[in-house]
Amino acid sequence: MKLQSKGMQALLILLPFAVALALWASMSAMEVVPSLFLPPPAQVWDAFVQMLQNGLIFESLGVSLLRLCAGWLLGLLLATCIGWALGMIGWLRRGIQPLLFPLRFVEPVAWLSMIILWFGTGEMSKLILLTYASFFGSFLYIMTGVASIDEVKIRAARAMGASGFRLFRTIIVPSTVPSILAGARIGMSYSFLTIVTAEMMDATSGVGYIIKYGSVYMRMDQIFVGTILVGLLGIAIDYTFRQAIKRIGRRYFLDQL
Amino acid sequence: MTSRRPLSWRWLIGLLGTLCFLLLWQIAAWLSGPSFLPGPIRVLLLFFEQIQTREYLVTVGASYQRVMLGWGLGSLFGLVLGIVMGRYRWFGTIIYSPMQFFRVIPAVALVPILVIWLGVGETIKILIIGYGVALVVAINIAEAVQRVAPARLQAARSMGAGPLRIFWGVLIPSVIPEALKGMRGSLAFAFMSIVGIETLAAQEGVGQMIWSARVLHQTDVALLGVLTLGLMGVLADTVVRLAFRIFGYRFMLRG
Repeated sequence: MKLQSKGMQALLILLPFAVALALWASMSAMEVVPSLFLPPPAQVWDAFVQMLQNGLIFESLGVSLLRLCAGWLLGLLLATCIGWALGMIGWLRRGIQPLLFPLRFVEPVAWLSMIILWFGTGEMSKLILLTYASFFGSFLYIMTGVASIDEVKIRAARAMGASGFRLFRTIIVPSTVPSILAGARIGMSYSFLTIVTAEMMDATSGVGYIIKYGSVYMRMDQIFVGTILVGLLGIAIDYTFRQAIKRIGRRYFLDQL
Repeated sequence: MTSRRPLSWRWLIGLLGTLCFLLLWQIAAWLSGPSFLPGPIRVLLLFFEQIQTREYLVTVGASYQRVMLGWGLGSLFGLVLGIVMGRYRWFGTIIYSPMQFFRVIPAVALVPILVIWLGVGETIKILIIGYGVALVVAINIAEAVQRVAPARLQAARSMGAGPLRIFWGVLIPSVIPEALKGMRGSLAFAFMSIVGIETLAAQEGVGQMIWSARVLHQTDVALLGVLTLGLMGVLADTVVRLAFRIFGYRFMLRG
């Protein structure tokens, strides 16, 4: 989908949103649906400004981002280390593979019930849940990446006298950078899904909580603010990842991502 | 790396790994006490006890129905949308950025809005699961359609096929291998919001079972729920894989 100019492209990207906004505004202006169900854009904007002024928006964003980044980093670190180790040891990898398969169908949030029973409802359980979510998203990817390194490369390095740490640093690490980057992105998307769900299910702060709070008190304008905020946060994260992968990945020819 | 080893040997290692894991789990359960971490024996016994009760079957059935209907309808819709997007570039370009926007919003975040609009029915659960699946499948298919060899389309057109004939006779068969692969991949994705949806808006279901076990301190029920989700997924994946292998044989699909 290549277009001639950047301006045209921006126009095409913004057009559907403008149409949707116009439709929304005109629908509530003509009162097709009661404002309890569809608050007019002005009301949502007012709610947003109010929440911005009393600091709720920044506080929620900060809390959610902190949880998200801590859990994601920890999970990615674990996934990378264990993925490197298991990727190299074939028999161990094949031994745990049948255990990993059913886990693909278990949403990370499903563990929240157990985690709360074990560690309570504090920040600790959120950190553990997010670490798991990030690990869950990236581990299999990284492990497969290590396992699929061309064996000729490893043999060549061995024949030239590299072994142990040297082999690891010069062959294994650079060959798995693409799968680590891709895994990091998948891990982040799972962590994001999990934090929003967990904050809606059981939390007293964060972006998900804004939505939850609005739905408990039937404040449709707050629900809208929360949902749009979640969407914008998701886009910001996705954009950051695209840029980072573009920058770092160029060295490791990652154009396909 | 070692595809030359016989298949039975790999099975054996997998089995051995599973047994080791179960043993470690049982030892950990003995050390920590059954109310903190129930062992595999206890969870398995609970499973065999529960599977005979109507309540458990209804719970599993409710969740299964949501996931499979959401997955099936979502991928069907995604398939059609993807083909249209890939075929008509201007439409694809216009719709692409809103789709990217909605793709990064976790579907669960839309639950409160949809509950207020449509009520706490089955519809919204299927809608939410299907919506996530449809977006993923549509983007995949749109890319697959653009890879269809132009010569094929031109040949069909020069032999007098109209747009509908091209759709059914050329486009659909060309993208079916890709579509089936994408659908199977998105099956796991369909399971990714069921717990969130069921805890936020459902009376019964596996997610609800896991979440309410927390209140009554039933660690074994929560673990059983997690196990159930995993088994449901594996069963669905096996059935889908077999069905696709039979159906996709015509379209030279391997794997």
